[in-house]
Amino acid sequence: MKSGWNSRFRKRWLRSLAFFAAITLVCVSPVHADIIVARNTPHLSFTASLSPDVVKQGGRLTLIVDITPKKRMHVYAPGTNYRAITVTLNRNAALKPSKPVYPKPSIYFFKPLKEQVFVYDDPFKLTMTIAIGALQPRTSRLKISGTLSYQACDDRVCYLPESVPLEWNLAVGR
Amino acid sequence: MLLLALAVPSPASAEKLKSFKLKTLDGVEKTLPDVLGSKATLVVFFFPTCPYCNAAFPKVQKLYDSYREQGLSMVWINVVPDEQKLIAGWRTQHGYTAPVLLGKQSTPREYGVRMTPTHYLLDARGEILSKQDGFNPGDEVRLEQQIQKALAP
Repeated sequence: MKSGWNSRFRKRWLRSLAFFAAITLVCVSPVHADIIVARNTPHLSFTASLSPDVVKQGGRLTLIVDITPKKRMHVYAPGTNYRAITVTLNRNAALKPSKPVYPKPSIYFFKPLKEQVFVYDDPFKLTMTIAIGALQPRTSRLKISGTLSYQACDDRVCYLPESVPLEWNLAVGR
Repeated sequence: MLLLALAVPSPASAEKLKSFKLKTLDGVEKTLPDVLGSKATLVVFFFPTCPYCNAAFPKVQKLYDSYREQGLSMVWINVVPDEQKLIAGWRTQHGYTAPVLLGKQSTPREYGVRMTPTHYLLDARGEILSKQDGFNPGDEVRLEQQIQKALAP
């Protein structure tokens, strides 16, 4: 039990370290600032990164959102009656995003309603692939924007649904 | 069990809940004075897919049924406008009859609502008697005691 807790604690600590490293990267490197978005909300912290950092017509991008719920918080996974966490991209004719891929959720027993719900209460990743279609000729940068939407609860209350804006600005390669 | 009910301390007890002008599901505009009960009013900020609201509301509806004849008024204010379309079906599904008002995007900010359900118990003049954030089984007992006290002659 103790070693389980230690490993969980270590995992959280490493995630926090990775989050702050990402923030540092965003602060010191103008190139990476365009491909990694790092945010800290009252309910969770996350980084959303795109790779590769150069967009090519006909190519593909991978979006990875690394999310760490805050202590005692959970967000909902698909398959419940509640608002599942999701990442969506704003419409852009050049982009064809896939549906987000979710990891296996945890099962949370919600005592007041005596129901089992799918949640994420430990660090987890959402991934999405984005196919790049025709790009405007002589475009040197491509702006990609979207939102991370979720609704968090803890063991006492639910917080209002949140939509966190995301934006990347990538170089276009030929 | 963790009780969430927090009695508002005496300096705040004279504070009035800010008035509003919000629409019912039928599109009729209502203000706070329109919905105040003769003795007390319970205003609850909620949204239909909020898990703790769904846990609280069967009990809150029972309080409405038990005390409305004695002067308790009640209004539930939705704070997530994009869930407005769910409300009619949700009320029917659960048999809720407490009146609902449709909050605006700015409603949570205007009333300092960061979590749901948030209950405000008001007296006949709209002054805040108590505030309760969240819900755990058993909180309805505290809420009922506060309502009984507010309705007492």
